[in-house]
Amino acid sequence: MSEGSTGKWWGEFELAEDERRWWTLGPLLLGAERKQREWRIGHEESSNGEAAAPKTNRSVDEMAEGGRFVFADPGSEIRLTPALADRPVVTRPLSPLYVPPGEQTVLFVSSPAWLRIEAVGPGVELADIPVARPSDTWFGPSTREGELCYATRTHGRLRLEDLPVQPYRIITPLEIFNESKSELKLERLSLPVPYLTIYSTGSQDLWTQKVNLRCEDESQLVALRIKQRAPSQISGAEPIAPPRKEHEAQVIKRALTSLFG
Amino acid sequence: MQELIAPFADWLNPERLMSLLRAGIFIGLGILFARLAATLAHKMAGAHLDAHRAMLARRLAYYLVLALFLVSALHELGFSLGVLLGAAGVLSVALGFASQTSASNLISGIFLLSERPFAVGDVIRIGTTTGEVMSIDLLSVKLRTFDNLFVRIPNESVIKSEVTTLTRFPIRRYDVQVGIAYKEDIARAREVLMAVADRNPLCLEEPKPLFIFLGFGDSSLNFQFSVWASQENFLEVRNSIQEEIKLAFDDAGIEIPFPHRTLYTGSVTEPFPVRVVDDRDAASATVTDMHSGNPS
Repeated sequence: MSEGSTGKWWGEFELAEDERRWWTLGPLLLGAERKQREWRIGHEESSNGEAAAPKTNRSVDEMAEGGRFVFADPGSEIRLTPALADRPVVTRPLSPLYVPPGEQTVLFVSSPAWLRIEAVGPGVELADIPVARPSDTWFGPSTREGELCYATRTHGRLRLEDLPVQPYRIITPLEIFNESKSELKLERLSLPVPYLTIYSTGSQDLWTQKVNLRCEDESQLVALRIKQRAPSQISGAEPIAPPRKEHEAQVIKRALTSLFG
Repeated sequence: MQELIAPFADWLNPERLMSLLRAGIFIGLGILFARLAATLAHKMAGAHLDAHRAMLARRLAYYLVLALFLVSALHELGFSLGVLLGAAGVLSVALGFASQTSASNLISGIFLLSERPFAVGDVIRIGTTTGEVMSIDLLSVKLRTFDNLFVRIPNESVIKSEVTTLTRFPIRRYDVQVGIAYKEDIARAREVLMAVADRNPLCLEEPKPLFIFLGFGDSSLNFQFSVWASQENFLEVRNSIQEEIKLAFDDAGIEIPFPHRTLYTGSVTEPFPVRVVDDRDAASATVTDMHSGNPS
């Protein structure tokens, strides 16, 4: 949607034959064109990370990435859906955060949004791209074991009112209970976003359900619980995107080091 | 004709015919059972071991079962096992001398399989050859190099020489050697380099990029800047980071020097005479010189 950061940017869009349409989502410029038997998708991210240049007269094929998708009947609608990252997101507070024993707190952390483009008629996904490509990072006890994640920085805000308006970012309320006898230092935190659902109230704010972190006594284990409902911070929210991966257990037990680096 | 067949007919009495038949049945059954055992071994091993070892287990089971049935068949034909083994012993000594290289490769191959420094599909470097491992066999390791050549390396040389497995760990570090001019500020160069790594999404944020001051070079201050990348993006990072460093240094006005030579002829010598020429004069002078056929 070329009007940019205001309002809802996802949804279904109808295109007439040979119509071309452009969307600028933060640094991402996305173009879609409907032909008689194909969809053409083109997208590119501005190199400096700044807002993409608005609608251009360029052809969709000229974009850095994308392609043509051929169908017997391509349908007339295209659907844009927000999604979460396909790998866990490692959040680093700007300054280390300490949770003393027995304390609990709610942090609001945001993670970058992905965009899924789907041809509604044939029901085929045309692209699954980040709005702004986050940096890769490694999360694990050593360079030999661990997993590849995306990196993001957070102010780790404690009050909802302090949260800045960040279009194309998805907010996760993170509740931390420190039930152990030692202080919990939060330097880096790996958030398993592929297991989370996206909720929206219809405005541009995107949320995931609340994630509970319970740091248990003695054992070096952390219970990570993903709530099934929309977070209490927003009322009347509807799920708009299912999680990428299904996790059977509601509680994921992880070693302390595999969650906090 | 009758005379020719007679001894053969004598030898081929019904009893012998029966034993021949039995031996044949043994061999047939042997092949059947060996195949069964091989499939079974492959399935059982496949659950616990990797593809290569499962294949090895399959072959081992096949030949072991087949050998047992073959020995029984020979026994049925009236060969004495003790004599056969004795003959095999003598033969193996002779063969051992004749095939020293093969034997050494074979034994190296067995060690290689048990030590497992790399697996099929890994990218390894042996000497100057870098390539993807296609198979690890009893006598040699087969590689496919990146320019699509097939390289066979004897197991003996693999055991003897240094082997680097490039794809063992999921992330790799790339070291860029870079120098800046003596007049530049090191702290600023460091900032610029860190910003370059930060901007490149394929450079890992953690482990953090490393900045190491290598020393005072002949014409530059030398650094090593090391960035981490995931295995699959390594080549892309290697290419993009150098280009980005050059661009960032150009933008920041930091000079990457080339070797300088200062001519010093000692304090007692006179300074070098320098003549200042006007651009236009110099150009016309050259033209005149060329006209006179006497280029300066």
